[in-house]
Amino acid sequence: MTTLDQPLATLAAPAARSKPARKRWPLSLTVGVAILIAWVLFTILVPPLIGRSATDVVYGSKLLPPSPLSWFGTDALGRDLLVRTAVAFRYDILVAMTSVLAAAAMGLVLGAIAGTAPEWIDNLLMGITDVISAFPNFVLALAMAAAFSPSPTTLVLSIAIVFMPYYARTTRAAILTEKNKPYADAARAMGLHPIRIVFLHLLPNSVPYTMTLIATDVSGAIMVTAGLSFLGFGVQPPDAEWGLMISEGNSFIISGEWWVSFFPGVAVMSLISAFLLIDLGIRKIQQKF
Amino acid sequence: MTGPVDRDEGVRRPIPVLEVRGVSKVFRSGGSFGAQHMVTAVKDASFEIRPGEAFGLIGESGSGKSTLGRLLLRLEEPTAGQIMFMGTDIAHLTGVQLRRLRAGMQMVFQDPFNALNPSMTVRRALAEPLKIHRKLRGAALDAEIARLLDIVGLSASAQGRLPREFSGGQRQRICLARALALQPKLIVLDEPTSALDVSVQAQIINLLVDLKQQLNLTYIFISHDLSVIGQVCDRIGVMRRGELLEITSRDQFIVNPETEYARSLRDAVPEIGRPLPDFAAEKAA
Repeated sequence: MTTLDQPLATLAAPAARSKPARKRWPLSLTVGVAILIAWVLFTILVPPLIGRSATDVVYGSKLLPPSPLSWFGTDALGRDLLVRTAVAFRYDILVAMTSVLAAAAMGLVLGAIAGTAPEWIDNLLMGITDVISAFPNFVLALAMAAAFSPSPTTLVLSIAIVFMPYYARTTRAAILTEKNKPYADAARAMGLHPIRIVFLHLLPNSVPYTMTLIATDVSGAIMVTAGLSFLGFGVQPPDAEWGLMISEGNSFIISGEWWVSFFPGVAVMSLISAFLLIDLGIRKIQQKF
Repeated sequence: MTGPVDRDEGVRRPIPVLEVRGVSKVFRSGGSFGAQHMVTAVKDASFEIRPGEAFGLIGESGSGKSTLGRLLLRLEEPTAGQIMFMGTDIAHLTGVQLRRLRAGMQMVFQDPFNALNPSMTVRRALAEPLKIHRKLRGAALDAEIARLLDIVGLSASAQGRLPREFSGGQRQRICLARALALQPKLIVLDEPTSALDVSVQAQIINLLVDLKQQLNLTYIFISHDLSVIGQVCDRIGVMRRGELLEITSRDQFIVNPETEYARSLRDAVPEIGRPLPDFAAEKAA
């Protein structure tokens, strides 16, 4: 009897163990979301707790190294870098997320039009997206931001246009698939207006195809936001923004005041990593289901 | 007219709901480079549908019966011919006029899993045609949705749910309710049961037969399944390679089909107790 029971027990054991493992929330998603929540708390809580604003200048305290008095040190004008780094998060996250959402919205509409309109409109729209995606993201965003007066709006628009082609192409492909399904025929046979069919029937079912790239694109957009501000085409002084803060500390790295650029740099890295981890987690969840 | 002879002619002739005259459909593939490929899916089809009848279209796969069904609803553009629906030629209508007339014809599709918009609840799917074509609002809308679900045998609690929460048979009932929402003069049923289990098939067939009697509906029933066609249809059109070979009444079809092909289709229905054809003897001969 025992000889028979033994192998059965060993066979059953791994099956029982593997079940909860499959349902586990991916670690990468947890870490990514945790970093994001930490940043939200940081940006809300730090300024009131320290009691200084991002633009408050403390006289006689230029370029102080990190110390218990000011944890991240101060910059060349005597502003508290801890407060500035915390406040800058708002700029970067807002610009990055708005621009990616705007890119997705533009891409969805253009893709829907391209997928259903006559061929010449389709060719025209896809030609435009091809031209946009032929340039490296950063170079094109830089050119557009440089062409207009530097402001957060310019920043959002140029990043949105750069990130738009992917959403337009994916939406177009999804619409082409969806419009051949019987429910689209049913809508047509029902005598619905073609525009209604595209936007109320086909588009809602095409959106999921494009959503997989949002998290990655937000991380890319953070990089472009910081990069453009670093070069002076984005957020302008005296506002606090990570790329701008890095450029303000740029000249002090050689003279030994590393902290001015270091902390905003770590901040950019952590936020980009957070979104990449979230993207990884979403992918893992999608694979399971 | 060089179409097949309608042997049921002259019995009683009310004004037809639909009159098809010499309709053809040619699909072209290939293009600027290489040889152009032409496939004639429907060749010079002519027939008419009278109010209250169930017209069966049979034929093997690829015989053009589905294409013909789609042509009637203008889901495909006919290459030639006239499609008279309630006295208007719809073969070349566009825009508003086409949309208005379309509401008078509805289609139930073969694949109930793709025939409903996956992101629309049952209520929204049914409310859409009611709002747009019948201008129903508020309490009248609620009452009509409840009535439609009731006549196809679904409970009112189905309203808030999405198509993926239903089985194939239930989805086909939803599709039927959606088709009935517009009070169509004609319903084209494109193999409505072939994607379903046999037991569910019977339920849907019974429902179709009941609804036809209750609401005095007119059907075009496309199928390759003769036993299903036999239960529902009064007249049968036999298609082969895009041609409508013959149109007969169901009884004629069972007793004495005109063409050889129709006879072979009839005899292909397996029946319990009937001996299988002697293939060995055929081979020897």
